[in-house]
Amino acid sequence: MALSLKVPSVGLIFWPVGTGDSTTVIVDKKRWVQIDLHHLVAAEDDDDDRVPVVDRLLELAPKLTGKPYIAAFAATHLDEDHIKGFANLLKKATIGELWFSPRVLHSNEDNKDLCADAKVFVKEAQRRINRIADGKTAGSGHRILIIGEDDLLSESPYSELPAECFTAPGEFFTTLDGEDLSETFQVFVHSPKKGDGDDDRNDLSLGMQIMISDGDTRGTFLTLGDLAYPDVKAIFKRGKYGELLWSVFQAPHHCSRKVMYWQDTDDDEEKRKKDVLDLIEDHADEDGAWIVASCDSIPSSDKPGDNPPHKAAATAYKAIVDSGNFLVTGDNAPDPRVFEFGDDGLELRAPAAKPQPKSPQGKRLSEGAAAAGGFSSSGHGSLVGFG
Amino acid sequence: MSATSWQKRAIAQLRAIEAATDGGLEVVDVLEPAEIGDQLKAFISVRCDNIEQTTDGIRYREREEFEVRVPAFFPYRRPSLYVSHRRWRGRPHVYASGYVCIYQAESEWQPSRGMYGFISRVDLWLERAAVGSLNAADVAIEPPVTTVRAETLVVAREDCPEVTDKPWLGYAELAVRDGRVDIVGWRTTPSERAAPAILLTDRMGPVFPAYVEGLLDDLAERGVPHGRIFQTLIDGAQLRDRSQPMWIVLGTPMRRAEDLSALQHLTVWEISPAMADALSVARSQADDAGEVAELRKSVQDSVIEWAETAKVSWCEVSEDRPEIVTRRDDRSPVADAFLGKRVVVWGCGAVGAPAAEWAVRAGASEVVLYDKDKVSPGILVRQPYVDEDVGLYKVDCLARRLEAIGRATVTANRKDLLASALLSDDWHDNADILIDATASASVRLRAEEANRFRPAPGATLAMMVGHDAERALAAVIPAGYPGLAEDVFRAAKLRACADKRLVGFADEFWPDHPRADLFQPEPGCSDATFRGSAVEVAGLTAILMRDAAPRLAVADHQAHAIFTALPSVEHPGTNHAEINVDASVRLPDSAGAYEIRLSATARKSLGKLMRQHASGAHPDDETGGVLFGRRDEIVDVIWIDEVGPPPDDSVSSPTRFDCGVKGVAEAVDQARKQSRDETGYIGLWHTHPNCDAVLSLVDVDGMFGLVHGHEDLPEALMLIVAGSARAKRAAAYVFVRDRAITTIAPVIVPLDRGQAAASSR
Repeated sequence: MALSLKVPSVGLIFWPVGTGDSTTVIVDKKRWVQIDLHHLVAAEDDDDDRVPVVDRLLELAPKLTGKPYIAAFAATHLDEDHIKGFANLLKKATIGELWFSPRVLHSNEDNKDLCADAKVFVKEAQRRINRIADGKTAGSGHRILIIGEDDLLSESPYSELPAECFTAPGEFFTTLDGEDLSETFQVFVHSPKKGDGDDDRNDLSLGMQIMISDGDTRGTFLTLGDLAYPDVKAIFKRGKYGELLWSVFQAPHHCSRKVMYWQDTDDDEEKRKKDVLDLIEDHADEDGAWIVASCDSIPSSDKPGDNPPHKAAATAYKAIVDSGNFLVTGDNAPDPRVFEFGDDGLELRAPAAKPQPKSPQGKRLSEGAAAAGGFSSSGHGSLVGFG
Repeated sequence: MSATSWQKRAIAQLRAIEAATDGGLEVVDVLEPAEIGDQLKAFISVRCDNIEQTTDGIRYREREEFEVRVPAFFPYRRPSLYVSHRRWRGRPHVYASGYVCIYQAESEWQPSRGMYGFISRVDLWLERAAVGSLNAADVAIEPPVTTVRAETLVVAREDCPEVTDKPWLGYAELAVRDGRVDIVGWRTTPSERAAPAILLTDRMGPVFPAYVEGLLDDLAERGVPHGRIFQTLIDGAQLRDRSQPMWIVLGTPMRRAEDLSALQHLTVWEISPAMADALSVARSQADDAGEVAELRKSVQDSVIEWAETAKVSWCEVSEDRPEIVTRRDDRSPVADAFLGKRVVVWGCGAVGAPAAEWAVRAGASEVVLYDKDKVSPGILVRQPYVDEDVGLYKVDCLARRLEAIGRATVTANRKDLLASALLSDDWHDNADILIDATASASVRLRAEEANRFRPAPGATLAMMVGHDAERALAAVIPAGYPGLAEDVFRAAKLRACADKRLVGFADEFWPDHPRADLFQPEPGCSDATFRGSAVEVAGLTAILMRDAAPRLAVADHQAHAIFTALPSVEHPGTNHAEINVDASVRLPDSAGAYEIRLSATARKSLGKLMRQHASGAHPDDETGGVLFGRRDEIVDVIWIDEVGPPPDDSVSSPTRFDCGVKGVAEAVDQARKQSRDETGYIGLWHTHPNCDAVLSLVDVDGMFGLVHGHEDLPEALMLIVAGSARAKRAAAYVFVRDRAITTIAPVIVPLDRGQAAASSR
């Protein structure tokens, strides 16, 4: 579907790519950070609401020596809904550096269920690692940043990589593709926790607070990949307020209920975890806060075993932000959700047309209570015949 | 899981609403209680973006989440609503604890509608809160939260002094008893029975500091520096009763008055005796030296450590300040009548004892009790005494009971009224309201006599109960009415005997024949009394007091009699009636010691007869007739109840009236029968159309003839009326057999309003 988009000078773009993540952080006019990718071939069809995101990136991204340039590509984890389309992007654009967790580096046997694009990502990561380990200059297009701890990293060739190739939860960095942007850009790392090849990929997702600033004003974007309740809660309990503050929060795992519904070892069934919702709410920026769910429209109900998005999660998030500030990428397709950084920090750019809510309208409580309680507020609305 | 079936029903109802609202309400979680009896918590998410919102109201999110706490005994106990966020704090009806007040009164909760009604109420609240139409004046400013740790209960009784532009530092006067301290006044100088008091001009936070250090800092921020606080603490510690802890009263303007201005919310901080002792010696002295100086330093260090680390012990404070607490009987005429009044109660039995207690509860400030009897076991059935009281004087027991209410000073008199109070000049004890609950004719008569010479300054309420406690009668005599209960009961009897609607009461209180079935609980050796339970007698007494109350509060020349019967009583006529008794015209006895009371009825009849005569053939002739009434030699009062027309065989001329006899005997007989012997022949009246109401020789001759010629008439009254029907005046003369009238000094009294008094004295 054709799309005309005015790209903000600094800001965020959440692409409507179905239920999957494709988020672009526009650090400045020259530098974009792409977090995850979900390019659906079906989206290339004009009749499809969803955006063929790689095409858009190639079209709109800054150009470096005539070639689309992505300063950094962060793979929160290598599930298909986060990496699909990477091979095409890598082929047609310059990707300055790759950000990924050590989970990516486990042997192919551990990664045997990876999709083709994920395998390309692993291969590219290994290429860059080997190149750097060989002592070659790690310029743009060859850089890596391994985020997180893993015993694997003590082995060759990882042990031969310089320190600037690593960071871990609790640390922050301000460089992007070799350039220090400490005046305007900072990434605080929250996850992954230390793991190994046996861990579920979701549980070792990258989690980051990305702060963009002009010196006076700041805007913060918090993304936690596909983490679920225990890790989300641990991050909020562990971090300091400023490291967790968010203007925009990406609903983890495409608005999954697993963020706030969980069966702890002591529990005999799954329970709603209000504590994590309170923690998320407590860190919302008082000057303006949005939650973005990168998924298709929210279903009208949840059934056991349903994949995300989940209505239960959407219901919870709607109570955390001001009315209208819970956004679903699928509701606005084919237009992406665009946040522009300005004097007031990150602000949602008004959509071209007000999206029609796809969730149920909902009756007023008194009507429902009257109906449920056996009291009709209006009586029968038409003739009632009897034989 | 320990949810009760009632709590499960609540959840089922919530689920039904969830299904019916199509996403408008979602039950997002249910936390069952850990133990039976605990609350169940249901978390609901409510769609709010379909509610009209204005800038004055709460700004909702697309969905808002609430915690509904469902008690174990739902719906017999109502659920409550909470929010966990702080966005709405400070809004009307949202408390610091997150509690959302959606019901102003418990009575608004409808158990039968259960969660359906509750959620409808939530919806109404959301609708009003969204447009800012929840009235802040409906509720007081939320009192701050303190952690109560001290065991002392503090009752605030006296209104706070005015706090204007700076904190008020002074002292609260205390009344201390076991485990309880009452604030009974405010003063600017310290004393042994006063606690330091700090009343702020600025509000504190919704939760008061738990630690001394935090409290001191909060006070400093509000204009009371640390040094000043310590000075106050030390002064208070030095002066306090050392056997007690030390209390510091802290006021913050966090309560709302009716006019929306802020009133002081009082909290009380308790300091242990040991720490108060340390504070009392903490101030350095100029002559400190050597060991004393070291000791002082050690004490000061301990005080500093205490101030930095100790927790604040807050006392529970119960409010009784008039500026805070609206009396629960506000707007009741009973409170209007009794509030702040001195009340004297004669008789502490089944009528008087509850009446005295109700007077105290209605705000009487002083109560004087009279009863000479002791408590016997039999009266426990219906009088408010206890077994331990048996053998003790009723007044002492009742006084103790009334004093325990803590609102009035009570004086108990065990003396026989007739032999004590009613013999004294201030027989009425300067009562604002005198309650005669003796049902004693003797007391009533003696009071009537005493009242003649030293009128009661206040109002009087006399009550009596019928023989089976199904009917009761009261005389309500406002200040200014010329007469007491005897007077009003006479009028009530006459009216009841003449009015078919009141015949049931006439039969009860003035039966044609003396009641033969007297009830003597202990035959042969106890006074006769009525049969009936505490319920009936209290019910009747309550009705009489309630109806009398508006009449007791204002001075008037009209008294009232109240007849009442229990609603279930079936008797001829009405079950409840109030009759007005207009003041009689009082005439002195120009020939002796009686007081003659010409009733309003008699006065009207007099005017009517005089008009008829004036329009007749011989208006200049005298006219006259028979006087009906009662002469009471005990109180020396003659009541003229009615005047009769001239008998047909009377002879009159401009200078003489000879009262005939035709029909007189029949009229007298009828009057006596109808009034059940209350009224009868007492003398004659005649007019002086051509001169004043002065006794003539003809009059003297006639009256002497009357009292000497009739065996059953040793005394007779002559009423001479002068003037016109509209402007008549009269003088009364009582002739007594074998007693010469030596001094004739008539006092002529105008009978009609606006007429100047005349006297030929």
